[in-house]
Amino acid sequence: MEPVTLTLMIGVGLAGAIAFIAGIIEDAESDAGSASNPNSQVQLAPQIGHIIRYYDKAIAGEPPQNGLWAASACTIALLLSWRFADMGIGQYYAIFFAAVVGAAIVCLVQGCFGVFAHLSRIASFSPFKQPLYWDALLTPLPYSMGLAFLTALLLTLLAFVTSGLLGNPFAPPLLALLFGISLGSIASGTGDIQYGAERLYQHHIFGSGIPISKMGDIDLKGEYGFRNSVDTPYFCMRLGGTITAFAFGLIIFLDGWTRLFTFAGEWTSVILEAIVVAILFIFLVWLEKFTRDSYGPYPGQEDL
Amino acid sequence: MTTQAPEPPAAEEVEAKEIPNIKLYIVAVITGIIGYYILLANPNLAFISVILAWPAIVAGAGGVEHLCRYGLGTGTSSIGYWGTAVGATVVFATIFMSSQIFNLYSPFIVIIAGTIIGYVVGLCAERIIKMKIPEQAQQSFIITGSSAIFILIVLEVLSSGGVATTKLYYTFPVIYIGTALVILHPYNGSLGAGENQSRTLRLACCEASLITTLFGIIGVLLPNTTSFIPALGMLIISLIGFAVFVKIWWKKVKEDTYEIVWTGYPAGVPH
Repeated sequence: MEPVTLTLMIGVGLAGAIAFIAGIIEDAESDAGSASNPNSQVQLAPQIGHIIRYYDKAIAGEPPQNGLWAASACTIALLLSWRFADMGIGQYYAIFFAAVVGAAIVCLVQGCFGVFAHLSRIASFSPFKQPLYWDALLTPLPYSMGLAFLTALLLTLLAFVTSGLLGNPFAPPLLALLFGISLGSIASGTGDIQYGAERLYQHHIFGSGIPISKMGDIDLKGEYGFRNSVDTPYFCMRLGGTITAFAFGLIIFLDGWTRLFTFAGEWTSVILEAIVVAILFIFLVWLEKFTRDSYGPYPGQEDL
Repeated sequence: MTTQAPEPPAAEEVEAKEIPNIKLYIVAVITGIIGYYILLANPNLAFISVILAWPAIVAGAGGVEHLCRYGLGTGTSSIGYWGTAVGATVVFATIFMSSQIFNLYSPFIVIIAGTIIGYVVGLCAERIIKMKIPEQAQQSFIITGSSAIFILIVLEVLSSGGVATTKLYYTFPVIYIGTALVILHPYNGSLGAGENQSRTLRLACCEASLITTLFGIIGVLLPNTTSFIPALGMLIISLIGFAVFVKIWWKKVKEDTYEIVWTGYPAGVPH
């Protein structure tokens, strides 16, 4: 096997693996702070009289915040790795240690934004008599910061693997920004359903969706005592986290995998990816039709 | 005979106490231009320019607040994204346009271009899409113009008064997304029935200093030695500003919050 192909294969495997883990961690991070879509439900709860003990980390929706964590961690890591390289540290060690430093700085920034968002939101809930519970903020805060550290670290490493081993022409910080935004969107689109529509509505019939009449009527009780935001990620990691990881990992893996072939020159990846998209499209349409034909509408909602 | 209870202050009276965003924007433009020329005269005075750049974020956050109060729930992120994209593109484009990176006319070009693009897009939303938001065009150009001023000054600090290197291009993604987040987040974070301009703008100050701290760290690490002292000044003054602004903001949060307790259970729910 040629060395170039071997490097590419290692790069594809590594990028796919990092992307899978980053997907799980990122979804947990958003769930630990009730970020993104479920945030609207947490936001509505005090308005209908439910006093909450959730960590309300509303940082601008998931895609922009993840973009910021990834882009800043990767920029710091890149600049620091040049400094480390000047000091005579080997390239790979320099990148890895610099990535850790970048992610650590980013996790502090995330903590600041999270505290700002939570305290401001609780202050804005004052007409609904929502008190500020310090323990409801301080318990999930370090947990959420730790997960943000891991997300930023993994996305930084992913950006370096993609630009180094896979030979992507873009600079690592730009790749990290794109990966952060796409991972945030995927977690917001796929993973959050597990939290927003299921975990927050466990006292309603499973799979019944969220009609307008139920909006904000979220579950306040945990497995023991009142539910806090640290009670959520372990539940959501079972399905929401793995689905997010699967979606993001598959995108990165399939994208990298098409680089292994060279039968049509520069157009090889375009042709292969078009085929993959066509296969996925046909499969998903079939799956949707099969599911609807087999199970039909929800009981009691046949006329909708 | 029954006596009537005193009526609560009408919504208009509360609104009247708020500072109009256009005033904030004018202040931001003036301080931004002064900050730019200070930096052009002596890059090592960056710590003064950074203080003069923060009003731009405050004005931008005010614009987002005004637009999003009319029910743009998830649109808060989008409008921040869009406004900063215009501002960032204008600034990044001026770098590539002239051979001299930043010159005497840069702030005027950037502010006028940012303002016009923002105004035209706002006008389109008002006239073509027919969104029913008052002063939409004005608030749109406030967001785009403010982000342009802020990014111009940050980029000038990082390039130590206009000495651009190719290494500087690596910082563009984080400058764009960081500015977008701090412009849209003050309102997004304070969203709720008890939201008020005073607290939102104080939060904007906190976040502006937080993000300049991050840019300061990046500037210190840049391999270009001339930008070390300006970036260090930015880092130190941002940390001091951050401590001061958080104190001011926290005072307001304490006033506004219904009750602050260490722990407790929600009343009325059996447990």
